[in-house]
Amino acid sequence: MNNKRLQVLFYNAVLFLLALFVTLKNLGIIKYFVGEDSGLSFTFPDKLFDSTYYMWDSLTAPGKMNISSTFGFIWANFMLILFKIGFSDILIKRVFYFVFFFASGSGMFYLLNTILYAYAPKINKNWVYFSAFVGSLLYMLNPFTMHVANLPIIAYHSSYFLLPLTFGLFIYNLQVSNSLLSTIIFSIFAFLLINANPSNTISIGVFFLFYIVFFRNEITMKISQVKQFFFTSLIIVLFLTSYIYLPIIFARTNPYGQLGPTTGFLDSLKIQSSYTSILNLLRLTGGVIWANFSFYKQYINNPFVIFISFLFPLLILISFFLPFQKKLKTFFGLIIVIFVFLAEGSHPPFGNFSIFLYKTIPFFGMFRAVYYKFAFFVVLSYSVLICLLTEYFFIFIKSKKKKIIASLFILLTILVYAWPFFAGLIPKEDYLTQIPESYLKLRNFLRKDATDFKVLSLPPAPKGAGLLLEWDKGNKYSGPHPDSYLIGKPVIDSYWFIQAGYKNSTVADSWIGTKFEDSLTELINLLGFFNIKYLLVHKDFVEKYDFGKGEIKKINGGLKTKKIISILSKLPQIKLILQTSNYMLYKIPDEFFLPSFYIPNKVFYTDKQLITLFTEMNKKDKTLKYAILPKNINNTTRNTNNKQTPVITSKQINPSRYQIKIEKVKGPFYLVFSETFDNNWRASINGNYISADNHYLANGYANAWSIENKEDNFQILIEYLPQKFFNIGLLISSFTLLFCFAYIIFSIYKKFK
Amino acid sequence: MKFKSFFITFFFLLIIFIDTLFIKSQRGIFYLILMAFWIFYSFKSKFENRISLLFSTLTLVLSFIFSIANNIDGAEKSAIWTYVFLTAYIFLSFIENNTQETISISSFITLVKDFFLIRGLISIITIFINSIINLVLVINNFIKPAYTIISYHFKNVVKKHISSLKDPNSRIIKKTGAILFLVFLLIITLIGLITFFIIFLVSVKFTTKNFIILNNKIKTARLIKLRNSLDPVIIKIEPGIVYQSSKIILFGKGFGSKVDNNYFRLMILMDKKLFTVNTDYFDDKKIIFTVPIDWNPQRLYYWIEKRIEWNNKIILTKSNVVSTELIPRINSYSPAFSPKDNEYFEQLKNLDKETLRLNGYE
Repeated sequence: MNNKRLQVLFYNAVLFLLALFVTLKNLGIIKYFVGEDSGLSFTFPDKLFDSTYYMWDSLTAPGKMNISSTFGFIWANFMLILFKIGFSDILIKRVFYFVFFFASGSGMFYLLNTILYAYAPKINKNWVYFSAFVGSLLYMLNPFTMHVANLPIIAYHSSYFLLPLTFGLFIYNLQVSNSLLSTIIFSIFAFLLINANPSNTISIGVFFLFYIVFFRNEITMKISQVKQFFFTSLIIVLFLTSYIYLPIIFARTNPYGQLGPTTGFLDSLKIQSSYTSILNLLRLTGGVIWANFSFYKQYINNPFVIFISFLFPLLILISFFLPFQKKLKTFFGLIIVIFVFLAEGSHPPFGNFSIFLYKTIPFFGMFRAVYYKFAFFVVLSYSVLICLLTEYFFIFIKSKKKKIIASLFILLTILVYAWPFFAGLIPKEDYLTQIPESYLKLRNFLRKDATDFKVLSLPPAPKGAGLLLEWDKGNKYSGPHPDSYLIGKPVIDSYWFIQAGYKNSTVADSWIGTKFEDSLTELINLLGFFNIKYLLVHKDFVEKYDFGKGEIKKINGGLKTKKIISILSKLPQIKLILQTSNYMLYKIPDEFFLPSFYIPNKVFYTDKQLITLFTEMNKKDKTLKYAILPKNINNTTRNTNNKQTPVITSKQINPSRYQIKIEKVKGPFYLVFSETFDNNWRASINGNYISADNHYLANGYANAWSIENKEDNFQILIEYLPQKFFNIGLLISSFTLLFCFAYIIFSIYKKFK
Repeated sequence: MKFKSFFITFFFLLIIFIDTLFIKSQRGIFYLILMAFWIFYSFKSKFENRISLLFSTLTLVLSFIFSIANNIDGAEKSAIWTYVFLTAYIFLSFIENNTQETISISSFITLVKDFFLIRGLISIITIFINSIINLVLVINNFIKPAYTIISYHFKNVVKKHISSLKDPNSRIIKKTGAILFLVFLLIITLIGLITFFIIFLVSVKFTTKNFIILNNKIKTARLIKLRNSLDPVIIKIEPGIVYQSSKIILFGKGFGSKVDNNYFRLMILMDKKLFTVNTDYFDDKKIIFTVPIDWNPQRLYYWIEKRIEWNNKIILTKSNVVSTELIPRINSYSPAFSPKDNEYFEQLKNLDKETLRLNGYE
């Protein structure tokens, strides 16, 4: 092995060890690392498989479209493979945490080497490697990574750690050397990047285009080669990502579900811009959780830490003063200026301009988490400029002693500024937790019930955002609703009824007071319409919660739970099944229960379905199966007075496909399916689709079909259409990926031969 | 730099000073207008863009000082100015033409010094007072907690003594003490004022004394700079590796503008002998010549000799020495590509477009 390779190996080994140390110091080896966006979704592999491979999420009952999960498909598969190998969730979380840091550092090391090779090819490699190492260390350990490593690593993080490597490959193809092999490798990384956060992918794409425009004169490839590179990589990426866009295009769906006007995001933008002052952003800090860190006070009060924090922008400004690589520095300076402006969000002084952008540009609201969406470009630019500065010290300082002092000074500045990483202060305490055994017991208990049912979770999640639980020994959970993963069955968060306007309840009722809980008795009578069989009452719901900066807010979790238990204990028909220190499980009577597929024998026609459901249905006869359908229906089923309902048997093939066996049919009938209404749910008999005109909204939220088949016995196939296109796309993508890998292996084999 | 230019610069500094210390609100439009004005003014006055960078750095340092002093408003305001000047610098970097004559940062600093020295006492006082105000503000913030305690006790003591003067019961006993305390305060204030005045006088005297020395230094430095600017400088030579009949371009400045061998010569050291090279083209910044086919492969050293008139004397000046490597041409008898040939083709990736065009590669 030659000296150059040894050096590359050495610097990467240092990055490796640092990433390992940071991981173990911050996460330890005992506790689960769960919460925030990922919740518990990555803790239970069986459910992770369902939420990865199926376009309908039935776990978040009464169900929702799951096409957005295609963006994290590769990431989830990576996790599933690790599960399959035998890694535990605790270990996987450590692996991902480590990968995040190491890939950020080594990716930046590669990018900086490529940039220096493209723009200053004659410089001594020893200096190049050291400067690249300094830059990569900053990219790996900085206030931005403190913010994002505060929570479990998910697909969204890969935008950050894949950016340098992909950008490096992009520059390599345009300015160093281009071949089919390098184009394929770039395309694979671009594909991985698309699997990250969609809004980040868009901004990264714009960044790449901007680079081409800015450096159009420096691109050494001929225009025909540039075109070839572009079109080849575009085609490969299009093939690789076909499973993402095929369901969206052909099923005409929006992966974000209800994406409202951007003005709806302004409140969120204002919260996200709480700390994004220019003063903070120039020092790379400013995320919405900045003041929640235990070391925050050090960063605003300790003169030494303040001094170090100012050194970074100062070093950047110094690098601009020095007379070398002017155009490159101007480019990254421009990136800093643009992205500091964008990352500032609605914070003064330029906040009004940002608000104008958010109001006028369609879908710009997807960038509302301004710090997380834009600040990483500032970090990237800082890393490149710090690397160039170190390079300058090496080239232009004659004295060896001064060279060492200058470069060590920068290196130490980075390490000292990143001290919370070495002190283990990065993850939010609440996210490092122990899941109580009692929940695992509950999971096993409910698994024994083979019928098709849903569970109602009480009390409602505050504002429907997620649960805040306090378990034994100070272990906590804060994140998206965890119940469907904890118990492995579809769970309806009782907030669903609040947002549907049950008993005129408002969002505030999910937060404080017991207005919603007071009307629980009447709600019990309606649960059949939602295929609910069990009630899970959380005793571990917190009464108040610290939202950071000592801002403790009342949630009334305890009060709500007490109220619910008190009401349920007075209802003789409700049976208490399980009781632990964390929850109580109740079962509703069988006569109240309706399976997810049922044929009603009494139908109401109205356009105010939810009002009718909430106000009238609780008084009806429990022995009859009711359904509420739209008023203006005019079909054979409505006009035929068929009193005898057929016998029905349903079988779930997977969350997006059901097989229904219908027997003893005496005439047309309605088939109700208690999952959220979606135009893409299609029913077919013997391969013939039932017309969309016969597909209706039922019970205010569910699906219903008018079945007019004349056979006595037949089968109906219910499927979610985007799943079909996803499967086709997945096939195309898999073959393309296989081809790419085959070509890479073939090229490497050829080279060594 | 003209007085008007400096006045506007000074005006900007004044705005920063007022905005940072006295204005609470942060209005984006205000900064945008000033940024646009600064960019326009810098461009029109041919300021080197690094002057904006200098201001950016200074305001960043100011922001640091305010942060240390726990004055968050001041720190944020200064950081906004850092951003404003950084944006101006980046914008000016786009539009700055390398050939355009700009006021360099070093001459700017010299002229700033000049301005204050020439404008005399008023400027010195302005600086002095500004420094004192800044110092007091910073010290005030540094010792804020101590200051709060002292001022609290001080007020109490004064209040106590004044009230004792009003109290008929304790008037006789406390009167003497109160008067003594007030006298003490008066003496302290007087000492403070005298110290301030002495510092002020010393600084004025020191500045005036140094003015003449500094002014002479500036004059000498300017003369040396002017003299040096007449010397030819070769910035780069392309290609670094050449074949016979390759076209070579020398880029630089101060080559001269007359086609007169007595005035200008491109010299070459070849086969340990000196020759004059015949040029195909030359102007003040560029020389093009063709490598003759009778030159032998070897490393060739070039420099420019130029005669200039300085203080009524003719002086021969020489540029820096640059070199190229002349390698043998590939012909049908050559066995294969040598490593040097590979290097020749490798260098083409980084050559100027004009060099490539002249040598038939585009």
